[in-house]
Amino acid sequence: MRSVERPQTGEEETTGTEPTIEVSSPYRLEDRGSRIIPAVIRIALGILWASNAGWKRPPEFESLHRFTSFAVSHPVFPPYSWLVDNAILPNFAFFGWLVLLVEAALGAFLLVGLATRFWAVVGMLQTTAIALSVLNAPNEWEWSYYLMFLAHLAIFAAAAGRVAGLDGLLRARWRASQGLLARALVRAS
Amino acid sequence: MDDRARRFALVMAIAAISLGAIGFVYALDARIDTPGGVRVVTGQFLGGGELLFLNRIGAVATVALGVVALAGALFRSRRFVLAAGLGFAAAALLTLVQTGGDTNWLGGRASTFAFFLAGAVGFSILSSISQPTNAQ
Repeated sequence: MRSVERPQTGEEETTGTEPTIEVSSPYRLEDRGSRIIPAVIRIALGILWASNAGWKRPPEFESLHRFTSFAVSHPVFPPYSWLVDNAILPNFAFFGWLVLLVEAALGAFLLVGLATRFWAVVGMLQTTAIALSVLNAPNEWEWSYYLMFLAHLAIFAAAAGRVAGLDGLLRARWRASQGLLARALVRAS
Repeated sequence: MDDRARRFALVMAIAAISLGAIGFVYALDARIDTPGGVRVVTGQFLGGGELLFLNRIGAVATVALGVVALAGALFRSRRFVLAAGLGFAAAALLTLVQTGGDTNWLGGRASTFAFFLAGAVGFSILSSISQPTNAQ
């Protein structure tokens, strides 16, 4: 096992006469408890998406079809209702698999904290799509979708994969690499 | 293996073993290859979701893969951790292909696929980390 030099990223600077300032955390939160809270929210969101992927059942996706149809029967945003009615419902098998894969991937990647900021954006988009389908449906509490959106915004802002996540383990390596994928992952984390 | 990666693998392995063990207990009353699976965590406290489904075969597979990952983390063997990652990838693919069908060897649903995918991604990436790093 050999040591690796700290990357010259500009994030850590000391001089011979000035006291060392520990600034290795990307967001410089001093309280350990406060650092871990975004990770807890990230993992909770991962469980949320994973568990809700569970009721998307191929090949018919009956429950998903019923909820998606609310976009037409209880419209929230007319252009979206038109899209659902004319593009999504007629091709529902494809759409069902797409939703299943996106929500399962959201669950998996948020659980392990890989490319967290990218998946937080995907989570916000998916939350928006769900909200546009069911916001006016019976027995829905609209604030649940606003809170879902805000929770994803919070983990995006806090870069929640950098604590207790793979982003935190790998980010320094990605920064040291010149590869396109590594640079993309730096942005996505 | 990097110490932080090793700790991460340890936590993931213990989580996998725990979920598999709980799943096995829940699945004791079901047929060994129950296609629909048995809920490991009912999700009642999580809003009535369907968190994780496994039958006994799926539960044993999850525990076995967790044990392989645990051994890899304890003995700093990247090959073992990679083997666990590839095993979870195979389990994820099998679950995805069979979910919703009459034949479902592991008793999984899409939520089970998500957890297997997390194991596949997590252990595979952790097995690639060979050098220590000081910066985050």
